[in-house]
Amino acid sequence: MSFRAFLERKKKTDQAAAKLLEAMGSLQERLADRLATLLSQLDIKAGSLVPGEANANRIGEIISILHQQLNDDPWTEAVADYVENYDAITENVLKYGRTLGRLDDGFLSALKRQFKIISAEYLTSAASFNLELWIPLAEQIGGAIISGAPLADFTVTAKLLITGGDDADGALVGKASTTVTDLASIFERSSTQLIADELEVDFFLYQGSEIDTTREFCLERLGKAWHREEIEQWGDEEWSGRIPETTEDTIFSFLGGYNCRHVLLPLAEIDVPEPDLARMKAKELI
Amino acid sequence: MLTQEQVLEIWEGKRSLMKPHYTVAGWKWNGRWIDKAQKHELPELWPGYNRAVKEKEIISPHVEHGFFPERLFKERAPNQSDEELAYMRANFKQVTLPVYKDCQNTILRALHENNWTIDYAPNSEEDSGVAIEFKEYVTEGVEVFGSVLNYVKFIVPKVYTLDSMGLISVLPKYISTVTQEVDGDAVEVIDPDTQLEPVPQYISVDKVWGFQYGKWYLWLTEEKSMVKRGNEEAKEGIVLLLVDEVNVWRIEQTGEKYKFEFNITLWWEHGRGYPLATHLKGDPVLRDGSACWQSYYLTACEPLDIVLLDTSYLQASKAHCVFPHMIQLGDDCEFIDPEHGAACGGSGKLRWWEPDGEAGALKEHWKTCPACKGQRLVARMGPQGKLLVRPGDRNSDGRTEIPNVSEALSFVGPDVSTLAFLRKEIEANTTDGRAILHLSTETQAVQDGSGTDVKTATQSGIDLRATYAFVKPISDRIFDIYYFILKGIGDIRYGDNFKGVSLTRPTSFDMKTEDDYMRELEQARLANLDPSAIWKLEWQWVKARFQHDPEAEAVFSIITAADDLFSLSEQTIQSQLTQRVIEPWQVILHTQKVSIYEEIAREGTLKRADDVKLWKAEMQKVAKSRVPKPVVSPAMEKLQMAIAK
Repeated sequence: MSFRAFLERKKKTDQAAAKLLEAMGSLQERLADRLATLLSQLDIKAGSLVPGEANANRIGEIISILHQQLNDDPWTEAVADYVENYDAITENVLKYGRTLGRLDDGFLSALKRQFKIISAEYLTSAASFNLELWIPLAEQIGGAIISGAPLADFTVTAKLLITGGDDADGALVGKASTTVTDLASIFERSSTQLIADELEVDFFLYQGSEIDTTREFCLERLGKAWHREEIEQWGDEEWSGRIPETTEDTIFSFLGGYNCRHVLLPLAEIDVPEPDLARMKAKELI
Repeated sequence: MLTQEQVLEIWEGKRSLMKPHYTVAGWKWNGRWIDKAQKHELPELWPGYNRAVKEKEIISPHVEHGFFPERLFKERAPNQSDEELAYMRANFKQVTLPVYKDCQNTILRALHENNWTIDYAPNSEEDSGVAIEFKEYVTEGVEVFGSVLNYVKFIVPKVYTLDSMGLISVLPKYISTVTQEVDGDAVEVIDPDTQLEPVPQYISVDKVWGFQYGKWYLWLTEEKSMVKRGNEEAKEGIVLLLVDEVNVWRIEQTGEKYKFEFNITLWWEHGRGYPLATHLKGDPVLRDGSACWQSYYLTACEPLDIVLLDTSYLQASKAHCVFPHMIQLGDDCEFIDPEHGAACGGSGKLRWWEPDGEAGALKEHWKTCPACKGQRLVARMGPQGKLLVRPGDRNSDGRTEIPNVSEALSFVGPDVSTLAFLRKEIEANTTDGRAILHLSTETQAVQDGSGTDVKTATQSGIDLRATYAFVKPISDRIFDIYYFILKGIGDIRYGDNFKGVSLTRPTSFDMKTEDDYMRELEQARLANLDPSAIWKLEWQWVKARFQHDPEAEAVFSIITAADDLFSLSEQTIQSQLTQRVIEPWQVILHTQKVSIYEEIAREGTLKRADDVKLWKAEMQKVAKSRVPKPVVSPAMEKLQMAIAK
C-alpha cells in the first residue's frame, strides 16, 4: 500500500471519533431528558422543590440512575463501533508497513487490545465524567433543593449543564472530544513507531489532513520527510498544544499534541524527497 | 438469743407504754381517737418511731392508691370547714401516682433477668436433691405469688419506697403439730412429716413495736386472740410476735379485754442463729442517737406535696369560677297569688291578711314569692327562651327610643390568669419531683435545628449515669432482701441440709431504652464511627427492642451473625461493591437476610437451635443462588466482541 493509499484510508478511520462524538451528543440529550423525568419525581410543592431530608436523600439515587445511562444500547453500540476502528487502523498500518518489510503483528495486536479496553472503559464508565458532570450536577441539585428552586427553571439549568446548549459542547462531549480523538491518533502513531522500530526505519513522512485548527508546529513539518533524530529533538521544544509528557521518545506518539491527527509514516530512504535528504545531510544525520 | 426473762422485760416495757392508750373500743391519745390510717402521736415505742410512721404517711399519697393526705390539707388551710374538707376528699385525684410508677419501672429494669444470675446449687457436689426441691419451692411454691422473685418484684420495691423502717419477715404461716406422749404427758410437737412452708411477709412500721438490730424484732400481727368483753368472749385481743436469733415468741392478749393482759409462749424454736426478720432500710439517719432508715422518696415528696395540693385547689377553682356566668335584664316580679290575691310587686314576698278569730281583727300572713323565690326580679324570657326587651319610652317629640338590646344579656367570665399560674406551678413542681428521682422529663432537651426538641445522646448519657447512681443502691438493697428471703426459706425448710444459694447481683445494668440506643446510633453514623462500634450499638438496640421476645432476639442473633455487612452504611456498601471489595451475593444477603432465614426455616433445612455457624453457611449459600445472572444486551455483546477481536 502506498502512503497515499494509507492516507486515503486514514480519512475514514479519522471519522470514527467524529461519529462517536455525535453519538455522545445524543447521549447527552437522553441524559438530560432522563434527568428532567427524575427531577419531576421529587417532592414538589407549588411548582418548587421542597427543601428537606426526603429530597436530599434522593440525590445519590438520581446520579446513580443517570450513571446507568452510560450503558444504554445506543451508546454501547456507538462505543463498539469506535472500538472496532482500532482494527481498521491496525490493518492500515500493517498493510503499509508490510510494504517496507516483514512484520510480526503480535506486539501491535497486544497494543491494540489495550487501547480498545482503555477506550471502552473510559467511555462506558461513569467515573470518567465525575469532575465535569456528576459532581457539579449533584451540587446543583443539592443547591436547588436547599433553596426550594422552581422545578421548571432548575430543570432547564440542569439540562444545560449536560447538553451545553447552543454555545457549548456539553459536559460529556466537552470532556471527551479531545480524548476520543487523541486515543485513536496516539494509537495510530504508536503503531507506526512500532513498525518503524521493528523495520529499523529512520525516515518518517509527516503527513495527515490539514484542518482549520492545524497548529503552527504541524504546519511547519507537514508533507516533509524527517530523520528520526530530528524528530527526537522536537521532544525538547515547546509549543502551544504540546502534551506535557512529550519527550524524545514519546514525540513519535504525541507528535503535535492535543487533537493532532497527523501521522509519522515510516519511509524508505529511497522515497525521501531530495530537499529533505539535503537538509538531513547538512545536519550530518546521514 | 433472749431468755424468757428478757422477753418478759422487753414486753413489759412496751406494754406499760401502750396500756394508757388502750381502750376496749380502740387506741386513744390525749383523749382523742387515733385514726387507723394515721397512727401517729403514739408513744415513742422506739427512738424515731413516730417520725418513721409520719414519714410513711407523707409518702403514701404519692405511692398508694386511695390514700387521702388529710394532714396536708389541714395544715394548708387550717380554717377550712368540715364541708370544704369533705369536698376536697371527694374530688381528690392522686396526680403524682404516675411519677411513682415511672420510678418503680426504672427500678424494675435493674431487676431484669439479664442483669443478674442465681445458682440454686452453688456447691454442686453436695445434696442436689435439696437444691432441686428448694428451687421448686421458691420458684413455684410460694403462697399467692408463686415465686419469691415475684414477691420481690411486685411487693418489695413499693414497700421499700414507702416504709424504710418496716420489716420483712420469713416465717411459716402455720406450723403443723401432732400430739406425742413424752414421759407420760401428752405434748404437742411439730409434725415431723410435714414440710414447713415459710413465706415472706411485710410488716408496716406502725406495727413494729420494738427491735434491736440483728438481735430481735417485735411486731403486732393481724391475728386476733380470744378475750372477754363482759360476759362474752370475742376474738378482739391483739397478738404480737417477737423473733430473736433462735426463737419465735408469741405474745397473746388474754382475759378481760380492758385489762390488757398477755400470755407469752415459745411458739417455735427455729434455731437458725439469726432473727428471721430484717428492716427494709433506706438512707441512714440518726434519731435520738439511734440509727434509723429513711426512704429515698422523701425528698421528692416536698415538691410532689405541692403538686397534690395545687391540683386539688385548681380543680376546685375550675368548678367554682372558671365557667362564665350569664347576666341578663330582669323585671320586677308581678306574680299574684291566686289563693289569697297577694301580689309580689317586686318585693319578693306575698303578704295578705286574714281574720284572726276575734271579730274585726286581721292577722298578717306572708310567704316568699314562689315565682321569683324572693329574688324580686324575673327573667324576661319569652315562651321560646328568647330574651324580650321592652321598647324605649316615647320622647317628647313623639319618637320611641330604641334600647340597646345587646346590653340586655351578657356573660361574665373570671380572669383565668391565676389558674394558668397554678397550672405552671404544678408542672414545675412535677418536673422538680421527677428530677430528684432522676426520671427523664421533656424539658431536658435541645433544639436540633428543625424545631423539634431532641435529647442528644450526650445528654441522655449523662442522665443515665445519674439514674444508674440513683438506682444502684436501691437495687443492691432489694437484692439483699431477696437473698434474705431465699436464705430464710432454705434454712427453715432444710436446716443444716441447706447449702445456700448463690445470687450474683447486678454490677452494671442496662438502663437505656431502644430510643436511647437509636439516638446513639444516629450520632455514631453521623460521626462515621468504626463499623465495629456501630455494630455494637445496633446489637444493643436489637436486645433492647426484643428483650421481651426471646424468639425474635434469637432469630436476630442468627441473621446478624450471617450478615458480614450488618453495620455498614448503604453508601459504604455501594462504594465497596463498585470497587469489588465485596461481592454481589453479600449485598443480597444483607438486604434479604430475613427472607433467606425464613426460606431456610420453612424448608426445615435447619432449626433455630442449630449452631450459628451452620446457619451462616446455609444463608450464604442461598444468597449466592439468588445472585441474578447478568443479562448482556446485544449492544454490550457487540462491544465485548469488538474488544476481544
